[in-house]
Amino acid sequence: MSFPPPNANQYATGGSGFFRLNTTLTSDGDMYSSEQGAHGFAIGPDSDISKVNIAYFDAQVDRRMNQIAISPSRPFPGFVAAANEGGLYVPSNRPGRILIWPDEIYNPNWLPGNDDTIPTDTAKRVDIEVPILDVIEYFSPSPIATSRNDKIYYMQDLPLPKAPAVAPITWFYQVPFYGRRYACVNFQPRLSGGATVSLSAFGVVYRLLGDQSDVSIETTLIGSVGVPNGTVFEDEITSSTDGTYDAIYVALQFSALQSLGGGSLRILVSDREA
Amino acid sequence: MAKNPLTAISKVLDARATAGGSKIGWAGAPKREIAQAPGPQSTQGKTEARTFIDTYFTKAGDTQIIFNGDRQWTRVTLVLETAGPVAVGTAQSITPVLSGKGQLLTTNVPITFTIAKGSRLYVAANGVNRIKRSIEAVPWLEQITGLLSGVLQRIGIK
Repeated sequence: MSFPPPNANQYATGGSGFFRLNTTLTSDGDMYSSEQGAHGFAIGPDSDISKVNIAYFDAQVDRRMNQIAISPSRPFPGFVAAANEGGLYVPSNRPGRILIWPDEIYNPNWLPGNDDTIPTDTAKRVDIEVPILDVIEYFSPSPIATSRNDKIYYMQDLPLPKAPAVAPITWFYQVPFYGRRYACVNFQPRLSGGATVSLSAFGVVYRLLGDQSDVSIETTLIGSVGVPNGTVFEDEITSSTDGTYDAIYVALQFSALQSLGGGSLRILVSDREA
Repeated sequence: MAKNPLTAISKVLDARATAGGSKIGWAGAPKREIAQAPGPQSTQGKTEARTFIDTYFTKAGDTQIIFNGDRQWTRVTLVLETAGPVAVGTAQSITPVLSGKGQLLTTNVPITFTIAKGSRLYVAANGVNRIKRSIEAVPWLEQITGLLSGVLQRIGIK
């Protein structure tokens, strides 16, 4: 979680009509608090996390803590009173602030496990787009939007392993895919030295059990396919045919070190299939 | 035959008028055996008639004074800009905020209180909140109150 964590009071004193918690995750255990009352909660437009838990003080439930989950299709438009004074959660006896945390599994130490087709002596690099938690807490009754923005991850030149790495080289690029229903992968190689490149893509579902080599369930979405230099590769991943995942990653394997950047890669993710 | 009370009132008021004094202001030495309402203020300073507009920031904890009406009658308009909860009232302690000892402010809904001279308006909240505060002097209310007390006193209604 970001430090210092975002402070809702500063938004209130600054005249804003909402508190926007917009931060990258350190782990799925990140938890944030707000001392401000709210007239509604919603997933923010740039959130990768698709399900967020909100806890608030309620004297009528166990532990005095009531909880609600919000998602892009289900915001919460009701009034939640700040209970910083007098309301204590049980048994911690801590002030009944509003608590916000992701309801998704995330492993910042994930490594690709589905590399059976990649030689063990290949040079590798793994790049992971860290998920963003984006939640909006409204200070006054407001119309609440219910959808996330599409996201485009674009690499004009790929960060491939350089010398003294020895070919073949493989680059893994993972992007969050929580709650998404569509992805489009576009790749155009720009190769040097007569090299070849193959592309494959996988869906990742994180697991809480298992050791470091077994931290996720991986599903092949795009089987290894050779992409000739100068051509364009394009494929789509839809939830109705391929399933839903916490993340997806692309693996590009080059037969030789690259001096021209390797090519351009674009991944679009969306909440809508059509 | 009993005196006609209306005739008696008329004679008293006529005597006051012919004495050359104004109905407003000093009307002779007070009768110390009779409790009297304070006389209305006959002059107003410029500073006492100003309008005061600002933003008040609440804080969590004990009841605070959001307006002190010791000097004169005023109209206080409050608008809560954040979600609250924020309570206002005339008691010295209106906590807990949701207890009903005060009145909860509604976000973006103005509410106006007419505060009598000598009264105070208190506020309590669970955290930091923004409140638009407008204070408008209404000194003529004090004069009207004084006049009414004087009239009621003269006709024997205490």
